[in-house]
Amino acid sequence: MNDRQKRIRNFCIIAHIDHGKSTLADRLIEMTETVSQRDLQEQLLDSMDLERERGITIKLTPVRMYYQKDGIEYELNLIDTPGHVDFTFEVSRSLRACEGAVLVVDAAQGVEAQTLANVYLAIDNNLEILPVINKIDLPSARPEEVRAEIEEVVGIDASDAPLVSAKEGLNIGEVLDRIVDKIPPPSGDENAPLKCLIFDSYYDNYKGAVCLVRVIDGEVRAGTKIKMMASGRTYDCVEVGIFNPKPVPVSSLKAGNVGYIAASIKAIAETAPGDTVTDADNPTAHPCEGYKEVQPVVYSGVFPADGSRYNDLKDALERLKLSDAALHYEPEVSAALGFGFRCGFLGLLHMEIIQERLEREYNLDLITTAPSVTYLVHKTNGEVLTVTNPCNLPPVTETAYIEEPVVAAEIFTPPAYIGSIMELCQDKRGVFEDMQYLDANRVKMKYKMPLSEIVFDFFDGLKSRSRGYASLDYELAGYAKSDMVKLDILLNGEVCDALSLIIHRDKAQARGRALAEKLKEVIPRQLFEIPIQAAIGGKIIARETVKAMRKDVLAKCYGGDVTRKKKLLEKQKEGKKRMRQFGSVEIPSEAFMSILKLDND
Amino acid sequence: MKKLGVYIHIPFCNRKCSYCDFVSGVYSDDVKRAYFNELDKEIRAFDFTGYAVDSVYFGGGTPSSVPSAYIAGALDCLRSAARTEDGCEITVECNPESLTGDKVADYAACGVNRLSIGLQSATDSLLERIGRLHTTNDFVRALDAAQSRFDNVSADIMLGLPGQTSADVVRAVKLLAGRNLSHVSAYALKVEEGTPLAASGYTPDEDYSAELYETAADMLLGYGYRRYEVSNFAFPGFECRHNMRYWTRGEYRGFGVAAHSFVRDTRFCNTSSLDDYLRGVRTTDSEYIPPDGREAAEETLMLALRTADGLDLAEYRDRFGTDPEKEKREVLEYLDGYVEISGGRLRLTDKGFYVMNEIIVRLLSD
Repeated sequence: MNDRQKRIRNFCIIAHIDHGKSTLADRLIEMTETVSQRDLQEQLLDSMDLERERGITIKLTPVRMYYQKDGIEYELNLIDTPGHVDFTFEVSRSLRACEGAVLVVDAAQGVEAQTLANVYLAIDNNLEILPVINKIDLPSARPEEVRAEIEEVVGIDASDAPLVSAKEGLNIGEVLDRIVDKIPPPSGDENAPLKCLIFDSYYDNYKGAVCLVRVIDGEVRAGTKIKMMASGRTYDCVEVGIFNPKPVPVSSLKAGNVGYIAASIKAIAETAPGDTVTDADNPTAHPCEGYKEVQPVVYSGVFPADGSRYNDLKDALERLKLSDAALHYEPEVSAALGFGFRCGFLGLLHMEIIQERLEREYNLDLITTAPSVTYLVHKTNGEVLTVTNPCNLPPVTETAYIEEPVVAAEIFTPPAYIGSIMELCQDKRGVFEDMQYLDANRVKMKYKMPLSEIVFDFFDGLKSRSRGYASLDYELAGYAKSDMVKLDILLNGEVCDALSLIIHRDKAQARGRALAEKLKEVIPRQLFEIPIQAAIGGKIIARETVKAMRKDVLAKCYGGDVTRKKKLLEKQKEGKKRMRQFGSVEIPSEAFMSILKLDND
Repeated sequence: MKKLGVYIHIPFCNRKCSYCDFVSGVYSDDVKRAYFNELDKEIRAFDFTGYAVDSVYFGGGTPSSVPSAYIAGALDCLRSAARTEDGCEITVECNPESLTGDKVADYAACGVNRLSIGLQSATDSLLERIGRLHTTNDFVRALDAAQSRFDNVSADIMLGLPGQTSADVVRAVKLLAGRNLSHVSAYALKVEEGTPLAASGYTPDEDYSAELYETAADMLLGYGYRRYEVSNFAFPGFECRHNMRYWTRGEYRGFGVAAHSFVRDTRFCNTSSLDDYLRGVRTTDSEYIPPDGREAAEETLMLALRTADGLDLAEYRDRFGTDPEKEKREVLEYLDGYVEISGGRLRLTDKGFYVMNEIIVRLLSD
């Protein structure tokens, strides 16, 4: 290994959601003077507003820092990792770009279950784990106990874990020293053919899709003719650079470096994370392992609340897609909601994030329909359909059977909540597989569970039954035959397509009743009575009625104050614009949203 | 010469009711004196040229709570400033506790010819709960006095009061009809923001309010009253000319604090601050409404549908160039049973009156 490589350290930070990952990252950046104090914005790495507000990291932003130790200047590359289960795949690919991981543990709260999953992922990737005990300034800090806990639960040596307070800037230097001392420099041969791992990409209005890469072997510079090994497409590299944390062009990236490659790539979808970039004229023989195409897991209809803004929604999705390859969408037409899109997401959080970004960054009001998973419908004629939208379900008479996706779920919880969590899992049609005590305070439960059940209100139930302590990790585990039915809601005798669901037969009755009841609450009284019915395969299983309006009058028009009455009517007229006309029934936009969360009783 | 209605606002009460959000309150005699001075000034400052006044309405507040000399004084002032028609309708709103025999005599002497008394409810405990100062007996005494000199007496009742039963409504209507009142107003309570009633968290139940209204309306119609407007019932010939002016988009000039006017195609409103009014501040908001424009058309329709006569379609079409019968065909079909067209007029049915906002909004929406 050459001297240049010996002075590089590539690492990430693993931490439970509020254990101070971003604050520590900020302090590291500050201490290495990567950004001037003036430009320091709280939590630098979380560049989207959404991330800062939620305190979570969604996009990965690598930062290069320089740090002097014993007279030698080291290049430290911090590669951030998202902290949510929807993005497990992104975590694993950013881990593969590192040689070490700083494990941040809260000195008061100790090791949390959700952290463990990522720590094990890091250990599986042969990363050197560097424990750091944070928040020692808290009165409730118990650093020595936490040190023992790390050794016990995680099974790594924590005897010399730095005790820091990222908030107060305490002992941050010690962390940097340990990164230099403990994390191995990147191996790889800068003279071998080019081999880069794309661990993320983003869209830049001027540069096009930009790949974030870790160079494994070789060297890349402006002018290199590069090739994406999965897609086979080739591009001329226009610019390579690093992040400090803003992008800065450099002359070349060599084995061990982390940085970006810009090559006038039109869409983000062409820069598949996990893919390998190589030299088109002198390709590497072995691409990086583990590339897989990301498939949406959850689908939902997305419509503009104001139907006239369909084109705005279309533009917004097109632009979001440029920067988020995981987002899938196609046009959908609903009798109740008009023109919109069927969108596919990596999971529930991803769905929420996209919806929020559409609403905030593109100033759109949305109506979304109940999330659905991908069903495999085996027809009697032998044909197999992939159905992600309840409206596309073939008639029962043509259906032999339906398969639904199942997940292998791991739930981490303190033992006190085992009982109520088991109840929840059972209620969600989970099949118990295994339970393991990780230590006296932590249990890992394994379940096989239908994905559709996780998509509907599972997180909230889990959190409320464990007072927030339990956490969930899951991965797709194939398909299972299941007795699924289509649940329809009829308004004034007509099926309202936007309210249809695919659901297990055992649950259809209760959900149908709950939906009808909820709709009765949220649909305002109108001039004519509105029957609300829930039906399974044409058979009515529940009925509610929105009674006809009886009183809507401004009784007095006092002293000739006509203006007041006009204003009132004007307001009422405005209110009508937020209504969706379905046949002769007016449905407030909010009604479609309110049924997505029914009380979990 | 064009006809003009005059409204005079008296912002004084002996006590504020729990549901009231009008500009009114309890004030000293000095304030009252100063107020009537300003009123005189405002009346004298208005250019009545081209108008003949054929209705005057003293509203409040409680006009009967001030010395009757003030009312007489304001009328004198008006008569000297404007031409008033013979047979001009002159109404004073009264509360039972302040309407004495002497006041009735004074009113009659200065030309008042119509009294409107607030009964609200015929259940004493209910009257107390909403902050009224009178009992049912007080009302009967005041009515005795009123009817000794006036044959045109109206009373108000309210519907949807907290704790009100249909028995209360029945009792009130029987009382009024039994005394042969020429006119009855039955108003649905509206809980206004900022009132003690709103603070109490009370909201009238929609169905129950509607039932109380139907009870009152059915009884009144049975006694021979005609519903000439959604909340107003009268024996034929005793419809309130002043109120009808509002619904027919006639012109009226409001004097006093917070009074509204519609004169010369302009709607305007006086300051709602009594202090400012006493300092000489007058109009705050003013809006010119082009007489043949869309807004005028919308107002015409929305006001006319409040009345039993409804909207004259031919006149509407000629004036505004739009024809609801053609352009709103689909809406009218949807509204079948709530509206009807007969004799060239569009009007609400019995069933339509109490849900008129929804109907009007549909007729006005694009």
